[in-house]
Amino acid sequence: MEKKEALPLQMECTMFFQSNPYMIESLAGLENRLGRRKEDLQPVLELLVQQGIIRKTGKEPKSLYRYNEPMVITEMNIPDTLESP
Amino acid sequence: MQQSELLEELQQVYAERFGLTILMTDENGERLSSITGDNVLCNHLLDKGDLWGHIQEAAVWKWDVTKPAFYDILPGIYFLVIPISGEDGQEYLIWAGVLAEEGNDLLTLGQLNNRYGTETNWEEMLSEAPAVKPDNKDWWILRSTRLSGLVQALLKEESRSSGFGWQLPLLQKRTGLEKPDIQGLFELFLSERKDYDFLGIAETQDEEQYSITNVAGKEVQNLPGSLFAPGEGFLGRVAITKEAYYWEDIENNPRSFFFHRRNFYPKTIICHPVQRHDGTTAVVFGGSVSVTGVSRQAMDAGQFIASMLEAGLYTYDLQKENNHQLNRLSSLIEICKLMAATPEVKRILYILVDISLNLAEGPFTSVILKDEESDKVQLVSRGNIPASMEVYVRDVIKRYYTERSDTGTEAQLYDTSWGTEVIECPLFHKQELLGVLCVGIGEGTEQQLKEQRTFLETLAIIGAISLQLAKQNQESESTAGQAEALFRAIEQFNKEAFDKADTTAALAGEFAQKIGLPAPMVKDIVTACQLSYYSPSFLKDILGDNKVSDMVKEGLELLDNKESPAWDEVSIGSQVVALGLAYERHPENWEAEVQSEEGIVEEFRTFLKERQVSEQEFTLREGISSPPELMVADSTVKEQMSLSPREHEVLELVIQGLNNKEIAEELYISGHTVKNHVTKIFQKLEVPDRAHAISKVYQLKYQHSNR
Amino acid sequence: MQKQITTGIDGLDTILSGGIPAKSTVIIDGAPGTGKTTLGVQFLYEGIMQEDESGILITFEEFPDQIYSDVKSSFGWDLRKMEEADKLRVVGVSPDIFMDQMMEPEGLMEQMIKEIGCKRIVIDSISLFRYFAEADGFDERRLLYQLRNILRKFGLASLLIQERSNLDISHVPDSYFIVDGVIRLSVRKHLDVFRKRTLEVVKMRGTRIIEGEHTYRITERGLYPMIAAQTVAEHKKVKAEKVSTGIHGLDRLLDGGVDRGAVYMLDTNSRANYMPVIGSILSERFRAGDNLLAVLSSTQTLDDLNRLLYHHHIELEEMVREQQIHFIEHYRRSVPAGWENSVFYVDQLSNEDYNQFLKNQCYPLLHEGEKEWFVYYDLNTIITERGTDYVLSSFAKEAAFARSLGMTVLVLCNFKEVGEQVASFLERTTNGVFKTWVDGSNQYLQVTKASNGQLSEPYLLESMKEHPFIRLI
Repeated sequence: MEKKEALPLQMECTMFFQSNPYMIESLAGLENRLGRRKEDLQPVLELLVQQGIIRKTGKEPKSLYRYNEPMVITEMNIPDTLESP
Repeated sequence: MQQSELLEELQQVYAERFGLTILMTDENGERLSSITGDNVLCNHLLDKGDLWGHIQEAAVWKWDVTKPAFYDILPGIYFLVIPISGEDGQEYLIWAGVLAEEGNDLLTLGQLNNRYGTETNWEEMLSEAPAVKPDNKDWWILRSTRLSGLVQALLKEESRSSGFGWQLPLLQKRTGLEKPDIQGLFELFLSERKDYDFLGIAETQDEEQYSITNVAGKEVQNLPGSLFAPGEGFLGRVAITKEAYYWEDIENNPRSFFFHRRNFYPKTIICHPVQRHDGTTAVVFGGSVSVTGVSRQAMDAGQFIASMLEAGLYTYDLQKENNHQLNRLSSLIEICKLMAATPEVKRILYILVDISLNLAEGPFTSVILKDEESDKVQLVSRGNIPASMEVYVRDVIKRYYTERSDTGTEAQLYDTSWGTEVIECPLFHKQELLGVLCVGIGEGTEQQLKEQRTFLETLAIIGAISLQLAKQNQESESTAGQAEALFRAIEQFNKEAFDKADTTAALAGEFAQKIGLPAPMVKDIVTACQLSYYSPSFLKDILGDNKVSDMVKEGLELLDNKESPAWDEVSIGSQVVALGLAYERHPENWEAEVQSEEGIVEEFRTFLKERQVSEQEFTLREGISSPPELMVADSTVKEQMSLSPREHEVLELVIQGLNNKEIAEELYISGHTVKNHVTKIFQKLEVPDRAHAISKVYQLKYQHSNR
Repeated sequence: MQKQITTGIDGLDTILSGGIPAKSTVIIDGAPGTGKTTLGVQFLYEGIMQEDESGILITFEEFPDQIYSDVKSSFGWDLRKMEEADKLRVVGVSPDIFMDQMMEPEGLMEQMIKEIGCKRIVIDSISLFRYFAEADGFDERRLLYQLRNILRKFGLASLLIQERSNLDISHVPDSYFIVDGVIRLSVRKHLDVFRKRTLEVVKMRGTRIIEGEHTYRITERGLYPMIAAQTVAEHKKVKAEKVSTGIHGLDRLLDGGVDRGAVYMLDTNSRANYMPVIGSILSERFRAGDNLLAVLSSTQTLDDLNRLLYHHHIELEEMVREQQIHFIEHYRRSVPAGWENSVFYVDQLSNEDYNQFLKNQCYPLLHEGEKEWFVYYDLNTIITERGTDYVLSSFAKEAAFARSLGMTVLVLCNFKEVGEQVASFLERTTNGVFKTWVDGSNQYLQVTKASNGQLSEPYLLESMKEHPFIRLI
């Protein structure tokens, strides 16, 4: 599948994992949950792993995918020096 | 005959594909073809205006062009004029139009109104006409050149082979929205053209390689999948030069080795480049395995099939691209909808970073939020955060928060110190800057960048609105939590006050609802009544600037300060609170507390009356509708068992599951007395214990009701 | 008594005398729409709110985000917030992966349990194990056994949700034997107007329970079981006096015997030889000095009974003389001389008259004297002679009456023959059910309902040469 065509599926997967942060699934399981073909899912999942949006554990073909939370820095202090040009 | 039919067919195909109306004239301005196509503006002008006159006028000019050109037949309105030179030395002109010049819409509109009057909706027609703009002029010219090539080829063919229209079936095999059936086209071509033994097409595989994707004809079965580099062999050469070329008698040409290796021994090869929508070039090649020479007709036929493929593939690619764009856009919109529907700050931030990473496929993405009051910055990010990120964050804060550069909601492109380009989308809601979405971008074309930017802007706009919603939600929730805690606290130190406030709140809430106040206000009224125990200033301290504390304050003032404020000076919420509190103080004589004859007081009076009535009705109904309670020892049992009234009472409580101590408390008698009663009851019922007593009553009742 | 884990569900904790035993595995069995998942989520939610015990919800079919939004809108439970506070995980996973990760040392599940200090887990639903067990050639029972052991190892209080697939209420699924407890949720059409939801603790190891079906509602705060005042009282009653069955193994299963003043059902079929069971129980009663009221069956004459009890060293003749025994006879069969006064012939009586007879003649008789009465009641005969409708309308009444008089009743009935609806009615009306049947050349006996909440495994009935002639293996 071309990259451009994959974007909607990529967003669909992203939202799926984000809405279900503790969903732990294999490729086969995701095929069922999302109702998408394995061949289409696989490259998208790899891409999401690369982007760090999901994590992959275990070896093929028993790899499991789950959401990876973004990095959150709650308090970064910006010193006053900013105010002066 | 064949010729004109073919021409019409060709005209039709082009007219449909490009949204133009097409006709052909000779150099004297005589129309040679019918007018085909659905270009609304053109057809209207031909029909109602004097366009035909303009064409005739223009046709007689000495055009002296060999290539298609744009001609502004009316200000801002163009025709493509495509010159054709017939075999007989005759010159023809194909007119394809009309196109509207982009960016000049208003001027053009004015002209049309002036010339033809304002009754026609020119604006709509103009907007429907294909646009001509500086950066697509070449494209139109290229398309037109193809058309001219095809027509030329047709005319020549006609002059030689007495009306044998081999092109017709090919043209009729029109390519619609589906991918063109290249194989089918090739086979049809080969069956029509005996001078060709084979035909094939090579398409770009990646940047460095071409691959033969479709072939038809003799001995070519090994070709599909063969790879070559641009510049390599016959095909590679055309791929690089992008110009048609042919080679004769190539059996011993070293370049033929590419074919020989695959057990294919062509004698001639004719190649034509095909421009694709994505900027790549495909190569259509054909030739003979028997004849060593290439005729002019064979070259023209090759040109013809290449042009056809180009037109077909182009339309298909364009359509596909559009579909994809549409899909991407609708996915994005779905996500935006979801975001707006889930007003949770954390989720929205996650969606922003995740989806923007999906879109841009860049090295990182980050939402930077700054607390308005303090210097604290919150960062939610994904991807590879560079070491110098902190510097960048400071820079963003400086540019967006400190300097407040007036960028509006538009996304900005920014070059970071470490070389990554970042699209920065400010998250603005009304005048407030809620944060900045910063998306590092990956490699891509200008076009992709433009699209990404548009998508990210959309995401940021919806993101900002959702964030605002979520923040409001959070605030109201936390206030509600505090208010609830304060209310519960009353219960701890003054149960009576708590119960009173609870009743008042329910009453005032019901009244507020009845007179149709909006739900949030009803909620505030209820809270105000619940908290009226506290002083308004205390509430203000705890809850902050909040309608609730105002309502309590004004409500109490209405009751206690007879002079000011007047009833009509305060909010309706405060008035309702005042009424509720008045009723709480003196349910019988609340009107004395109020001392006002505002309309709302009258409404409250009516409300109280109705409420009393409905309450009575309600209790009555309830009594009737509830099923006969099996466990209530009714008079039947009492009579049958000759229980005293007190014993009856005790038995009822026994049945309800109370123990002796509880019964004692309930009836205000001593535990000892209860025990005596219970023993007596057991004796009378002839049962050993409670369970059996219940069973007995059950049985008696059952027998009674079944009698 | 073991330490108990409160379920956090008010009525249910009362029914369970405080909660489920610590580290126990309990099946929540119910048809679709009974609120199993709600009960599960409630168990976790209340665990966090009331006891600060972290929990994990495993969902095989439903998506976590669906659960988040469902329970938020229905009950206001904000599970996401609990996840953020690391008190909860709602894990969407396939059954095979779940089992795989549970078994793996330091697997994802173990990591997660440690990460949040998980104390409670809900698995929704174990019915799905069947499919994956079938696919992988696993034994479903073994799988469940493994799961129970792993859960126990982690010390988790577990609720396993199970879809009721078999509508036959007397069918006892395998899974019931593996776990520590079973709570059954049912929905019945009540008066054809509204649906009545009931909850029953079918089995619970290590805790006393309030028996019977408790109506529950699904309120805005989750499941809310209501305990009938009657059963509460029963619950508060001191431990019931036990009446030995004379069969050692059976007594052990019943914590000493049947409860005095309770009604028991012996579900049997014609192929099973239930006579030794009857003989043993009856003879034991006589030896203990109880009186007997027997409804004679069509297949069993007085002579038969005489002979049976003679085997068990009881001289019926003597009992008759002492007026310690009365018979209700639906057929006009001859009786030994001198026994006439002990036999009530009811063959001529209409249902209405029969009712009157019970009320006016029979019951007063039972009131007399100091002795305890034991009733042996052949319900098959009543059904044949008086019809199913009669049984449906009068049995509950008679049972309640017998209980109120403290009589212990043993009812003989063939559940298969009376049909599912009647069987389920009878099962509900009685305090305990024993079931005996023949499979191949062996006969089995099983306690499928008892007041201690224990549901036994099926035992083999072996003949012996001596009284009581049978024993449970």
